[in-house]
Amino acid sequence: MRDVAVIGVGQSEFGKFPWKSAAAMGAEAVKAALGDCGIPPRAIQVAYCARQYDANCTSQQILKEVGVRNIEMINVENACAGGSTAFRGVWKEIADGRYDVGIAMGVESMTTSPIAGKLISPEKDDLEGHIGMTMPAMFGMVARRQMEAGATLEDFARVSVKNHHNGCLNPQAQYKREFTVEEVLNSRMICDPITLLMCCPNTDGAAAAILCSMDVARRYTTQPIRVLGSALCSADYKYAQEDICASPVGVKVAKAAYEMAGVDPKDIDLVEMHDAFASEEILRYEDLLLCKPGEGIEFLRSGATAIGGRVPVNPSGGLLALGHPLSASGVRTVCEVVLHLRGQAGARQTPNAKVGLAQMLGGLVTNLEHGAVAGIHILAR
Amino acid sequence: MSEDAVPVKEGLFDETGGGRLLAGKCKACGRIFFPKAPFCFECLEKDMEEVVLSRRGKLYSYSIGRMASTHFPPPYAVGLVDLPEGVRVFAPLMSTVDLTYRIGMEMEVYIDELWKDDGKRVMGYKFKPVKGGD
Repeated sequence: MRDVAVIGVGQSEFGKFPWKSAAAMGAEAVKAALGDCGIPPRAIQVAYCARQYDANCTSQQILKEVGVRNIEMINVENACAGGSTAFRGVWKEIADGRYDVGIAMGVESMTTSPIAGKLISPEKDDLEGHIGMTMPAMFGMVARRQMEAGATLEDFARVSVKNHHNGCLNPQAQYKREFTVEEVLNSRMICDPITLLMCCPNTDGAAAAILCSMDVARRYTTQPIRVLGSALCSADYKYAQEDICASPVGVKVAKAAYEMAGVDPKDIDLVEMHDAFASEEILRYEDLLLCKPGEGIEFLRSGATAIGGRVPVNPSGGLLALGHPLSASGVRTVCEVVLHLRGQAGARQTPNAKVGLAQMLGGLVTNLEHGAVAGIHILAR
Repeated sequence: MSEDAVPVKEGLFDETGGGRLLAGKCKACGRIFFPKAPFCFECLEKDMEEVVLSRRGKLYSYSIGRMASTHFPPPYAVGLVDLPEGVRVFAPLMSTVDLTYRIGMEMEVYIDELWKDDGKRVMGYKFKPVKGGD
């Protein structure tokens, strides 16, 4: 297996743009990634693009906007981990020696999707979905269990305050506004105890990353970022998730990624992860082995995950403030980690970052663990 | 069930004794599934038998929805109830303004209208707190 590097990253503007097509947003991200490394578009040999809603040859639609045609293009859907899946697809192609240069893309137009302004609607035969199971209801029930274990509403609010603060430092964030704990707690109730400001917003946007073999990388950059570990796995049946606060598949994927990368969780300098709900971020500290099981709340309260802390989590602003175009987020988290490893993350830079981790978890499927798929990439300079 | 009523899904429950949930039990490994599984998800055995679940269990967790779901206008309550057979059931909870839920409280299944569809009452299972129970 060959070493693979990320040489170019790009993100479109994130926000609510119902007038922008997925192809236009995708092209914005791809142009940024091409410009970031200076590689000519026709050097790209393979493309993967993730998109969940109204997908129809999305890779082709995007890449025709930058002059790329006649190459292998693969379009994928994997809920919130779609972007991670696309990134991993390109990584595998290059690691296996099939191609030398590829592009991973993720795009979503949430404001024009069938779920715009609504909760994600259930499939026709999804009984639990029809009788009231929704993402916020699930995380509301999880949050109630977290509170049994000692978490407080203020803890959940603090995650939102932290990530919104980080968003203020990121010119590309959808929301650049500070909130207080009180403002988060007093915002509209969505699913008790989850309030509006504890939920990620509806976001339109795209992200792209250009990967290549180390030989090619040296031609375009003096700062190739290596992909040390890549892991993706789908969940077990629901009964395996005895404690709904735990993510068995999340832990499994984290262990696989650490093992492949040959790094210890304590070596991780920053993390970008799925904080679709503020309360969820605290649980993921434990899945990612950043702290001991049961110590996620203490870890948050210690300030370890704030910018300037031991391991900043979601310095970009996360899904909560930067925004969450579902399939774009798995690529976007990788882009953010790359910027920190290059020392280009501006006001939110993690000092001297050497190793970073990008995680995504997603999908609510009846009979399976919630979080039906998890994907993790570990990158290093 | 009256003529204008249809079950949300066939074979999941009946109205005996105030309402009962019907689960599937694997004849090979004994694991119980609710809603019924087409085969045993654990050992892939195809031979499943119907078993009746206990009517009472403990509230594992709950949430009150304040934003409309596909069929329920807000506010509505949903929860997870652990039954003695080792099955955790997701279900709507009885929703009234003054009812407060607490993890660990004793709950009981009952059959109620979930929503109306094309003039028919769509019936399903819900849970409510057991009066005087804990």
